[in-house]
Parts: sequence; structure tokens; C-alpha cells
Amino acid sequence: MRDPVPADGADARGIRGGATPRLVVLGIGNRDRSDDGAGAIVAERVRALLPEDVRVALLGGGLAGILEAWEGADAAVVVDAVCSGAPAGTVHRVDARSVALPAAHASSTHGLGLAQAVELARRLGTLPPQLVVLGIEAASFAPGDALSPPVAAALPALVARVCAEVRRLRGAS
Amino acid sequence: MPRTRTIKVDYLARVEGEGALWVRVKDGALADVQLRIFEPPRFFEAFLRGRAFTEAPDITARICGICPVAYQMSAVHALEDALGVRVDGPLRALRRLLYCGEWIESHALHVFMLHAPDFLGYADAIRMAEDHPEVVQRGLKLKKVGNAIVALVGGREVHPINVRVGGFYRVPARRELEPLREPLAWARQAALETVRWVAALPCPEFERDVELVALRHPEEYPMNEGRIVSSRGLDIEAGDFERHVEELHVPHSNALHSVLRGRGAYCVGPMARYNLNFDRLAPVAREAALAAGIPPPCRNPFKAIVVRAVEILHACDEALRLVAAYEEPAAPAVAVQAHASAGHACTEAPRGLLYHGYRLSDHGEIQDARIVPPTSQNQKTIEDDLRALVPGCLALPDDELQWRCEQAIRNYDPCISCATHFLKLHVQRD
Repeated sequence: MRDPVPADGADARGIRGGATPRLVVLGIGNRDRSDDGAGAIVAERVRALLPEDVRVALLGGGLAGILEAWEGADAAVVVDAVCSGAPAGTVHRVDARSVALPAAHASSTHGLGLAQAVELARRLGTLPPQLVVLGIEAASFAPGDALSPPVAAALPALVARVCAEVRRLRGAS
Repeated sequence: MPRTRTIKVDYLARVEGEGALWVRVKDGALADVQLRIFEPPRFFEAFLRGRAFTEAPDITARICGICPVAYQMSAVHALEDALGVRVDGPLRALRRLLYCGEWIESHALHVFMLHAPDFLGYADAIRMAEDHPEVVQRGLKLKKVGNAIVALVGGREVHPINVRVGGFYRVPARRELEPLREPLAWARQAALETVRWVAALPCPEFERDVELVALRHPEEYPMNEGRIVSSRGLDIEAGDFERHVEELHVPHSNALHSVLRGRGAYCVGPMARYNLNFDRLAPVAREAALAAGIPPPCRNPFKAIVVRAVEILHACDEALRLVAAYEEPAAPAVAVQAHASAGHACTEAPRGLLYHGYRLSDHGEIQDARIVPPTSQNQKTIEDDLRALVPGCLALPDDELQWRCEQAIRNYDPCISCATHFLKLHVQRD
């Protein structure tokens, strides 16, 4: 029998850490949609490698959840699967404080995702002072939990890169 | 020489799922309006066949990421109807609290992020946030309060996993609901301010007398239970839904159109609930609605944004009351025994009446499932609204005409994904 209601305020979204953490890593994606799950998988792997005071959050990609997850953070590293036409496994780095993310087509409620969250937060003045987005080029968003070979092969380097970004931001902030 | 104007919107924005609008104007008169729903059919009713009845709440929750609770509620009520189970007392109250959470989050999303930009002339909520940051913040915070309820009672914010036929898998202790009180008290006040804010938005003058259909309960504003009633005298049990509602396939839509047999198009959703159940609203919501200048009958579909805000207020007030009165149930669920049977139920999803009907085998296997979501029921009424609206707007340039049409569609907060079983706009002027 399931016990889906977490006892005593344990965070259902898997955010861990202290009351006012300064750094947050967000892994965005749906693990049942092939390479879309890459962000979530990377976040889970870096969780074990990063200092305790770095919050790690796994998100489905809805706008409200993203805004909430980086609320109050000094710096955020966001990992998400992207689709730009580059070879699968390519990692794109965007300093989202200075550049807008390329948005997908017109927004629907289903489509209010990371790019819209960044632009909304920019206008609301709630964007973290430092915001790095690492986008891994996906080959497939088909149903299923298997990553495509090029994305799977690129993950270890991406994990290391997230850790390096965190080290840099900790030094800088 | 004939002159054709075509206004086409290939992908309607700020609606759920994929659809298009096609408007054709010939010699200065409206010739045709079609809501084209091209999102492919999803075959949920067929997936359900052969599955255990206990799986229905979790499978049907996957139909919609915005209103999964509605699918779970219609599923469990229909199956409990089939199996002769009655869920009462604190378990029933807890279901109502969960539903309040979904109404708050779904309505807050639509009012602030999807519909308000239409009234203020912004292409989207992001641009609206530049001039009205405090409004957008309030909307996001209200949605968060709704999410918190669903997460607490349902196990997680989206596609909750704690609902089962007979009750819940686990029920919260009284103290676990305590942290909801303060955010809900804030939300109730924010909802009051929201009613005032949306009531002051510039609103098109437009009225149409359409048959409104909603649940009606002897004491409560309808959510989980009630008879199906209409503004023109319909008064039936959920079990009679399929006898009165006919689903028609039209070539331009992958979503079936619903009509009332012998009566035609009808409207479900906040407008229908409000007009048919004004007397069941919480006093604070009733007073706010009257102060907002929308005494029933309210026949201007553009006022749906105000009605949604009134329903947010009602849901916050009701949720506060339910939290204060909560007593931990003796058991998380009542026992349910499978047997060959059939059952039906309607509940009030944020977008309106949601019908589920099931037939079960001796072992509780689903042999047949029928699901009629609110957006398919409203499709014909949306087209009829546009047919009545467009002739008065023909002097507008194409981009403004398109804007007004899209705004009119969003009056219904259409959920195309649910209905495909939806939007692009084409206006063709001949």
C-alpha cells in the first residue's frame, strides 16, 4: 500500500538543505520522455557530489515550480534538455542574467517553461543574481526512460561541468 | 466583386493543447466559424478496458496536468456508485478540500497568466508583468496556495497519487493541515482583491442566452455531488447523462461536440455553476460578486474572468472552513468489494461538468469506460459565441478581430488536451 503523503513537512519535491541556501541546482525534465530526463538525472548525480549547503531540486519544468525553486538563491545552475539542431549530446551554456533564452513557440499553459520563467522573473525582479543554464542537446523525446546513446555518453562530462560551475559560483558569491 | 476576409490562428496560444480557429467573412458578412481541434485523440477510454477498477483514478488523472483531481474525483465517485459505496464524513470533507486546492490553482493560472493579458492588451503574462508585477506575483502566490493543498492531501502537486476508490491511501493528521491556515487566510484576502481587480478590467459588451448546465447540491456550492440541472429546466441524475447528452463527431475537430438531445448546444463551467448556484456561494463570495457588479443572471461570457475570481474566493473560504473543522477519519478508506456493476458520476472540474461512466466485471475489471470532459461540452457554445460576436466586430482590422476572437475562446479556459478526444485562428474574408 502506498503512503504518498510525506510525514511532517518533508519536501515532496526533493529540495534539501538549510533555511537560506545561497546556491541551487535545478534539474528539469520528465524521465519518462527519453532525453528529456537528462536534466533530472544530472541533478540526482550531482546531489551526491556537492556540498550539503547546495540545494538540489528535480522539477518537471512548470513555470511556477521553477520560480519557487530559485527564490532567494544567490546563484542558480539549471540543467535542461534542449532542441536547437546541434548534434545530440552537445552542451550549450547560457548566462541567463545577460541573455534571454531562446523561447519555443507561443506559450500554452503546458508550454510555460524555463524560458518563460526566466523572462517573467527578470520582469518581476526575482531572477537570481547569477543564473547559468546548461542545455544538453536531445535526440529523442519519445516515451520511455532510456537516454539516447549520445546523450548518455555526454552525461559524465555534464555532471562534472555542473560541479565546476557550482565551485566557480561559490567562489564568486 | 466578392471580398473574402480570412482570419486564421494556426496555433491558439494560452489554451491547453493544440487547436486552431478559422473565421470566414464573405461580402462583409460572417460565413463560417470553426474551432479546429487537431490534437490527436488519446484513447483513454480504450486504455481503461481490461484494467482493474482500482487503477482508474491514477490512469484518468493523466488526462490533464491542470485538473487531475477532477478526473480522480469523477472516477472514484462513478466507481463508488457502481459498487454501492458511500464515502462520507471527514473523508468526504478531505476530498472537497483537495478539490478546492485544484480550483484555486487552475483558476489562478487562468485568471492571471492566461486571460487577464487579453483584457489589458498584453501579448502574454510576461509582458503584463513589466507593468503589473504585483498582480502577477499575487497570481503566482495564489496558485502556490492551491498547489500546497493538492500536494498535502494528494501526495504531490501534479497528478496526485493519494486518491483511491473508497477514500485515500493515507489521510493527514490534524496537525499536518495546520500549516495551510496562514497561507489560506492570505489567499482569501488576495482573492477578494482579485475579484475587485478583474471587475474593473475593461470588458466587451456582449450577451448571449445559452442553456447553462451544472451540478446542484441541496446545501453546497457544487463540486463533488449534486443533480445535473440547467437554466432551462433540465434536472437529472448523473446516471441519465448519456441519455440526455449526445456526442457528435464533426469533420473539423478531433474532439467530439456535445449537445443536449432535442435542445442543442449548452454551456458548462464557472458561468453555469455561478448562475445556477449563486445562493450556495459562501456569503463572502456572494457579497464580493454583487459588489463586482455581476448579479445573476450574468450572460456576458467575458465576465467569466470575474466569476472565476469569485470561485477562487469561495474555494479559499471553503478550504479554510474545512481545515478548521477537520477531524481525522477513523480509517483512510472504506472497504470496497468488486462485483459486476455499472456506475456513473459527474463532478465539477474547474472548467465544468466532467462525466465518467464505468461498467465492471465480476472481478472488478473495467469492461467499458465513458469520459465526457467539459471542453468538449463547451465547443459548440464557443463557436456559437463567435458566430454572435464576430458580426459586431467586422469593422475591426484583422489583428484586432483575431484578438477579440481569441479572448472569447479563452472565456471558457478550454482544455484541448482533455477534450481530444484543440487552437490556430483563420479568418477568411471573401
